[in-house]
Amino acid sequence: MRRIADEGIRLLDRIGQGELAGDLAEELHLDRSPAWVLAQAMAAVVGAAATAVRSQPYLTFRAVATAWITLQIVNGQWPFAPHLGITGWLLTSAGGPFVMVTQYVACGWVVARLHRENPVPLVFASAGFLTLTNAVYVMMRTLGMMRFRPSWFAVDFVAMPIVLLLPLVTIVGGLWGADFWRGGPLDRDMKVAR
Amino acid sequence: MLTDFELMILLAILRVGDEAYGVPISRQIEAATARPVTRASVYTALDRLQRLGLVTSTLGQPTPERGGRAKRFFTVTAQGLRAVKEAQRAFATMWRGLPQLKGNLS
Repeated sequence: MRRIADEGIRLLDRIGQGELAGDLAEELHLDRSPAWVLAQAMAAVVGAAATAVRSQPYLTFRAVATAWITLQIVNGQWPFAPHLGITGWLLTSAGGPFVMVTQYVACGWVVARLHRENPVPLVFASAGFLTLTNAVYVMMRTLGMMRFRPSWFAVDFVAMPIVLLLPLVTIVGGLWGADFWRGGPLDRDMKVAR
Repeated sequence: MLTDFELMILLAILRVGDEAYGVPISRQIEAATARPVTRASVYTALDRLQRLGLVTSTLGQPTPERGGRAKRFFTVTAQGLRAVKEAQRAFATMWRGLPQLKGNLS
């Protein structure tokens, strides 16, 4: 947990919020738990991302559309070739979860690579959009299950929250695509947008 | 017009004195209100106060416990002090003569 909190602080540092990053590092050194520090860092990043996203609606739309189209392509949902779709296989196969995680990581990576000027807010916006679409899917499926009560009813109730959390790995893919762990440039202007 | 939170921040800076940076300011507010304070919101408010000319800031030296990052020290300007006094006067006027608030708080 400590390592993840350090990464959260590092992310703040890299988006131009060095003073806040320093404060959180100091609080971690004093008496705060890594979970508290991580929550503070994430709140700051999400807040800064939301402000940045509001100030550039066109880019946000482009990033969200990129993420969605990427997900459709890696799912095999191509126009005029519906037989290539692997959604059914993903939901029933043992290797499905691994492939799904890879797909969402790929979405974040592609968004970050295509928006190198300011990847962080756009990756967060994409992850938010994918969470929203998954939430609608989960809601519809749950309502359907409550109506027809199929045999896999209980299993599905365990699996659905995972589907809801899946877009979070888009952020990991986005940070990877933005060379976060290699020290590549990130959104230095997010502090201005705050 | 200052928000309650901005007023709290100005008062916290005045209380902490020369060593007023993010951590003691936030902790001072938490101690006074007994509520958790989101650190990002403190910096958002400090940015706004600085834009309004109510506080100024200077960068300190980097320290090891902050991972080599510098502290940003805040000071209330004369204009900021005036804003605090005006808020105090406004609150005092609103407070005065309310029968529901008679007696000590304890």
